[in-house]
Amino acid sequence: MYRMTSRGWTNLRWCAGAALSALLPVVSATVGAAEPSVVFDVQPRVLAVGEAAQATITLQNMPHAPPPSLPPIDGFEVQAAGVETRIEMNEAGMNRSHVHKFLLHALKAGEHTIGPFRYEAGGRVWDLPAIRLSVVPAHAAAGGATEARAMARLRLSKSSVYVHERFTVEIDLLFRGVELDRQVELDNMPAGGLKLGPFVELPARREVVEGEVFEVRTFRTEARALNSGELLLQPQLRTQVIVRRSRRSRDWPFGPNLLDDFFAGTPFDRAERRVVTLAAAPVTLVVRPLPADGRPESFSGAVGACSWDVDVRPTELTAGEPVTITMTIRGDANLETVQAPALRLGPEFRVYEPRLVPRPGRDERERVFEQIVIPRDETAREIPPLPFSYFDPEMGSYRELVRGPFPLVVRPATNGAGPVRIAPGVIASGSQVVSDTAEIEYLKPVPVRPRRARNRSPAQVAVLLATPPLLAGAIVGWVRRRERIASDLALARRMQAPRVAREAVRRMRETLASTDARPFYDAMWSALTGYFGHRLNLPPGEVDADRVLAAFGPSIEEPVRRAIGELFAQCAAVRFGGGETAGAERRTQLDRLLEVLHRCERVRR
Amino acid sequence: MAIAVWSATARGGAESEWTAAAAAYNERRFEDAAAIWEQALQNGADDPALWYNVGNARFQLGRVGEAVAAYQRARRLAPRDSQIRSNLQLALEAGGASPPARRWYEEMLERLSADEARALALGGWWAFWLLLAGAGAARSTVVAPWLRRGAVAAALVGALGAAALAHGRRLDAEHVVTATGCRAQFAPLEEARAYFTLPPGSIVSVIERRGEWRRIRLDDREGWVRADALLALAEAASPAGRTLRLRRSDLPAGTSPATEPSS
Repeated sequence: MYRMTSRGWTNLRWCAGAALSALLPVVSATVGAAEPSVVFDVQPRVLAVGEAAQATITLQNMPHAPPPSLPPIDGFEVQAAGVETRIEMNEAGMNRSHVHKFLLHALKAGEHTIGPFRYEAGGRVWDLPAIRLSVVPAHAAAGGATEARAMARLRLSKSSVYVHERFTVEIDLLFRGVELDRQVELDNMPAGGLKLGPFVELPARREVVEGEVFEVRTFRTEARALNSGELLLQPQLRTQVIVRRSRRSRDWPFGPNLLDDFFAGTPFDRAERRVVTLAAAPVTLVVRPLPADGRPESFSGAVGACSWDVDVRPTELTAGEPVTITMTIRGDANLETVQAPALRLGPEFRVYEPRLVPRPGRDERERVFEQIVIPRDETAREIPPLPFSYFDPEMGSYRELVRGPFPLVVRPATNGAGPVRIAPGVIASGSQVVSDTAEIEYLKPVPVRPRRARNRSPAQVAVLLATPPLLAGAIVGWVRRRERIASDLALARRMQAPRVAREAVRRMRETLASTDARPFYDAMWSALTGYFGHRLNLPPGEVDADRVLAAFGPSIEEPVRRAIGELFAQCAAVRFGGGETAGAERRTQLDRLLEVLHRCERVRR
Repeated sequence: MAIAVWSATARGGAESEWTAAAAAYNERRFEDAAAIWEQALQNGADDPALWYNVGNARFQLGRVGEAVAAYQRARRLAPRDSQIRSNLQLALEAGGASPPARRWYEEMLERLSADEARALALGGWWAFWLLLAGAGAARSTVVAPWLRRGAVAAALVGALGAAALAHGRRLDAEHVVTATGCRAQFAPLEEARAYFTLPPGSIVSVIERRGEWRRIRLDDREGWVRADALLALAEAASPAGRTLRLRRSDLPAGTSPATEPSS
């Protein structure tokens, strides 16, 4: 077994480094043949006096170029901030960039222009465009001493549109002096009448509003109105304000931010979060209906400027063979709802349904339909002109585009060609027209009361799962107990003892107020003999204090033993001696009996 | 009486809704048809016919990934329906995707619908305990051995149902690729290298989440894709919901590409 020593490890690392160093220029020379370029940028472009913007000059694929420098700039203090090297691998090859950074500390408020600059290297000259910066007074800076603010703003690219006309919706989230959560939810958009696309967030920026610098996050989407009329839009953005509790931050050896980020969203998160809802000012969108006048027959709902291309292949074929008509619609329109124009061909053609061609990576502003037609015989001479029309919102009128006609050369069929069915999906060529392929099945009838989602609560599931074992246990326990009672006389009598005692005690209570003491003590005698006879499985007639105490043995306490003896003696004295007792004394005897029975019932024997 | 009137009204409303949706579909207004059916699904309906019809409408609209998601939901509810399986296969082929690779026992479990699996698991559980109780109660009789055998059989049936339920849970957590040109990358970074391409309609398992990125598994390959390229089967009813979760840019605050106009 080979064991790596520290010396061997060092040697290996050195060799690997040397190999990488040797290979990198080779790889750069072979793969990285990309064009050199120079890019100048400054961010942010809105800042306050005292803040610093970062200027970057990126030299791409210029490994031996001299380092650029910035001249003194009026209103700023320029400070070099180092060089960063980036290597990117992509399909086009390798890009190696050197990013030279400079900090521009703003010294005075106003509109400033940085540049233009000129950079020369390797005999070539690059002109770097000027960049404008807005510097506001220091008190207007974000996070300054003024109050924290956050607000939402709705912007539409058009305030008046036609039905199904595409327009842009932008929702800005402006904030200063406050930290907001990354997640933002949009709410309170109209429930109907508006079709929104997926929102994407634009790069963050800064903006001066009412003399104050705000951080701005902008969310943009494409939308179209579905119905004519006026639409009131007042979206709400819901997010969370994060309040950092930095009291113990100095205690952390790694700094507060690292740990706060690590624990964010967990129970150990030291930041406090409060939900805020920001309502944008309402905006009314006027949606106009499409005019009925001048609507071409071929209009299939496209609103927005479009182009229309038609390709027909093959143009020379035998009757019974398929012809693929590929129709491509491109444009800034509501293409997702546009259908293929209906073909009006003569009886010499058999026409199949058009199919939308799903193309991986296709542009959203392009829609391609393919339609199969089959000339029945050689009388089919051409595919007639194919029109497509759209409504142009800029012009406020319909426009019709026509392609064709497309001449065909159809040879007569030499044998009886069987019917063909068209495979759905991608139909790229006639070779995919095959016999006996499945077509998309038709709709299914939906029940009047469709099945509902059945989600049982955890409590219901727990009950459903716990009930059978409990029920089974109860059944088995009950059956076993019955069996044991049936086979064990002592147990059966033991089970009956409390019931017998309860019956006798009931009779004692009934005779408690009687003038004659004998019935009371007869009942007490029944209670004693009945309970202890069953409890200890003693034969009838052999129940007395001595046998009871002997049967119990040492398992009962001395006061209870004494009380049992006294109760038996008292009963015998009254029943056989004819003694009289007062009602209060009988009550005491009853209580004493109950206490004895209770204590004896708790004895395990 | 009032209940009867309400029931008849609700039934009439639903019937007219389905009629309108079918009419829209037949008039090739697929988006309108899909909207009606999707609305019913969002309101709590979970019927295989509804999912199937939504899948057809989305397929006709060219939304292959979303169609696959709808067919897959329909298949979970009616796995032996030949029409659903046929159209799912067609949608997968149209997108260029392959059906997810399954082992023999997974295919067997997928032949049970969610309702059937639930009924088998629960019925087997109840039958097992009741038969066991019967065997215990009648242990000295001739039926006791038969009851014990019945309990074992019920336990096996319950285990089959539980396995189908567990597998169904895994299927419900699957995602479908809806974006075209989606590529799985080696790392959750914009600049990371692409590993393999995912055609729309590909059914993948999400095994890790990191911000806006999802680590997915397709057959034996794993890679990172953006979350917005995927549609969770659990959310297949509303692929573009009204309440939108907005995506945050990865760029640090205060920066923008050099091509972005000055603010």
